[in-house]
Amino acid sequence: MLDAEEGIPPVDSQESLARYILSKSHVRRQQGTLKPDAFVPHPHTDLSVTRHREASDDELWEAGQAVSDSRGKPLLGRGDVLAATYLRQKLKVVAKPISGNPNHADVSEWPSEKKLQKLIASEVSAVAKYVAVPEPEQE
Amino acid sequence: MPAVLNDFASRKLDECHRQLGKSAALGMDGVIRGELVEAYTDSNEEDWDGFGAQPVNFETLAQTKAFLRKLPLGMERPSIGAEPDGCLTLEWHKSRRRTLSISIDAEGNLTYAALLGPESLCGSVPFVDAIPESILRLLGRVYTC
Repeated sequence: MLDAEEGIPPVDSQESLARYILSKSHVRRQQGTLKPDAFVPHPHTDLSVTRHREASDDELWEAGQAVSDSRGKPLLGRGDVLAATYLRQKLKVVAKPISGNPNHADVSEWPSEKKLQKLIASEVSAVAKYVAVPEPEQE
Repeated sequence: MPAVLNDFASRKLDECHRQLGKSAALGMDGVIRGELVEAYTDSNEEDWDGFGAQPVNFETLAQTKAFLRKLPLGMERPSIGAEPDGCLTLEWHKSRRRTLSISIDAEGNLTYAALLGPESLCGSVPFVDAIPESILRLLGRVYTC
């Protein structure tokens, strides 16, 4: 993970960003892809994501598990999207380290109209890669 | 035709539509009893998504049921979901760029976004007793283009 003491770099357009999925209705069961619903921030103004930068796969899942534990919802997976996808939609991606997750970032400057948010979320979900949470290893 | 016969024919047609709507092949009753109830149950409490979502309320469920029951018989079945502002969503998805998502709120407002090949469309229309023509046209385009 990024080291806050060394300074948190701004988000590069080629960075992958993970959106953790805690609701099964956000996943298309047959295709194993994500619905736009997973990327609509409304009524919030920002979409919470975690940067892949300098994070191992295990660390990414640990960050997701921490979100899951704090919200009391099971972690189902994550939606990986390049920062460039959000930037193309005229959104901003801002590094926002939080306690326990120096890789946290916010996708901000969403239009206030719901229909426009839905359209952007549709464009994002069309290119998002859904990664289901790994099954626990058998002993 | 006398008005009384017109009224009788209209009621009979509605009854036929309701009966056919219960069939597994043509109607949406299976979706209503299954996926819709499941989506509502999963999202009718505060913070159901873990990110502070508003709950889906009973009026939104009722509007969504009414919308599903008004869809033409034999229509492809949507996948049901919910959004953090408490709307229920219906999604018709053929491929990544052949997809329509409609949000329904407690007042029956429909907010939609569609990706149809290179085209991206969005808008809002009210649902009052019948499926708006604009929505039916979009639904047709998801599967026929």
